[in-house]
Amino acid sequence: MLLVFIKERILNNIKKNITPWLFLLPFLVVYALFMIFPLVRGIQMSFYHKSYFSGSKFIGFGNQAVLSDPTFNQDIFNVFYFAVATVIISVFLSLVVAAIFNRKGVTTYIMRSFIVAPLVLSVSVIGVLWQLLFTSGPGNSLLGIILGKDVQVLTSPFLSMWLIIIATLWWTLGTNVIIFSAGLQSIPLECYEAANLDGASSVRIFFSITLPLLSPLIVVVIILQTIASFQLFGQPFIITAGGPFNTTATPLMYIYGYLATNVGFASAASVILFFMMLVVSFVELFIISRGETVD
Amino acid sequence: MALILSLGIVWIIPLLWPISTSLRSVASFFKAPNLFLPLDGITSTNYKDVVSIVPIGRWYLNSFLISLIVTIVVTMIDFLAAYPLARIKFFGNRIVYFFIIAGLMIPFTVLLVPLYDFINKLGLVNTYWGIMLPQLASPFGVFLLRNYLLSIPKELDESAMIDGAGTFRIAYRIIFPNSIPGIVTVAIFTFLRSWNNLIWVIVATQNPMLYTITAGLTSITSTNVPNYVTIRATACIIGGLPLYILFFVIQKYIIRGLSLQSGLK
Repeated sequence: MLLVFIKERILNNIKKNITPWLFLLPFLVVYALFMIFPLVRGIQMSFYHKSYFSGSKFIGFGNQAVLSDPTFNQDIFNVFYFAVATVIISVFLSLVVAAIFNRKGVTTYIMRSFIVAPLVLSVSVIGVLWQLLFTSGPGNSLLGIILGKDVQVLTSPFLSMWLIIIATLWWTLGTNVIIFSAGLQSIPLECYEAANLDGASSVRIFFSITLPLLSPLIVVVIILQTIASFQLFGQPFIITAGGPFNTTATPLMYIYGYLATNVGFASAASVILFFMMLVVSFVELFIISRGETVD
Repeated sequence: MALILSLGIVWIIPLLWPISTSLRSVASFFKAPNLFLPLDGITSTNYKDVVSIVPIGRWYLNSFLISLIVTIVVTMIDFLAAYPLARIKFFGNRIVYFFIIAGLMIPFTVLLVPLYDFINKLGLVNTYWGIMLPQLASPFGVFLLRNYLLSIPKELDESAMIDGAGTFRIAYRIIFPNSIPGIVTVAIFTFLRSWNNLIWVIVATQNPMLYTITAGLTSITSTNVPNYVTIRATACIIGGLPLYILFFVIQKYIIRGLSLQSGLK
């Protein structure tokens, strides 16, 4: 009798501890096969010379030669330039837009929807749209009128990069606007009422109440935007094909280019890019959190 | 208010030109390429031409089937994984959860090369399987659904358990119906991400008949298509406008998803 009881308890206990794993199993299998295994394999491959013609050979840090390739360095520089510009402008602009649109009303809602809607479009639509505007469409002549001189955006390195930045902002600003709008709505009205009673100006209110209360969200947005920026591919792939003179090419385009010829080399480039992204994210977190404790 | 109106209008201006161009005949386009509105009459020739020149119907079908299958599988396995993480106390819960959200830090860039190698070894290059399989791992959905499930009151499970319902029954009868809004949000995000995936599709297949609309759009170039500008503008509109319009219907879920993602409830 006692034995049956103990047996039942043990069985129950096992059952209780196994059921959660049965639920987790399908996800864990897919996760291991298509994320964890490739991650480990990618790091391993970066130490091999491997192409589909010559087989593979261990060469240690030989592939790190990618770091001395001027093309790769230029690509890294380009993507840094792009990341800094997009992150700063996007965070600033989306805060402003979210603040302006932080009111009720049908018109406000519809106009905000217009700003947010492009985020559902694919990178191909964005790329083709902006490329056509500045090759066959009115882009160049409109910009020419504003600047007061003739311009061909896609032959100028500076303007090409900024075309990609602006196309990206047009595409993704809505994501940050939504996040900040939700943040603004979660700030208790009492905070503003108290500040108003104390006679604070609206600029003062923005910097002393809105900004500090939104700062956790700003951190999230900066990091997400940075990680996305470093993986820039579609926009330059379609709009400029990396040109003129490689000034809009990105590391991911470089990796894509080596995929068919030297897989080890391509892996090394992607592992380096990955570590760079990790370092930049941590540096950002560090700087931002230090700024907060100083306040 | 004027500021709000002008910002909204600035944002739709870039869309007007390709819409206008897609509705104008090739001849009138070359006479005045810069029109933002089709003032000189509209025609549907470009739309007929696109359909006959590029396999855009096939691309649409591919996009739809691939995204749909990926969405169904991802939503299902992510829900199953999120359920015990949010609702059951068991040994290893926190460790597994940490292991899964660490996946949010892995960028696709670092997986691209080994995934291609893997798919190549399995002989799945140029197949639908090769395009779909790597899209099935989505720790983001687990993260989002777990956060959603945590907000469902604990009493629901407890009263069901007193009534004698087992873990599976609780998941299916109690938790699932109560998490529909969260599941819809994950499904929409997964669908959009799959629909918009460019780099993996062009890596996994070189066969234009397997392209999705996102990959197909990039393959229309001046060298392989006559009347390249009007055709390309039209294809761009066909590829983008349906989703753009759909946005206004599903906006609520996108806002919820982004709020959950950034840690707001």
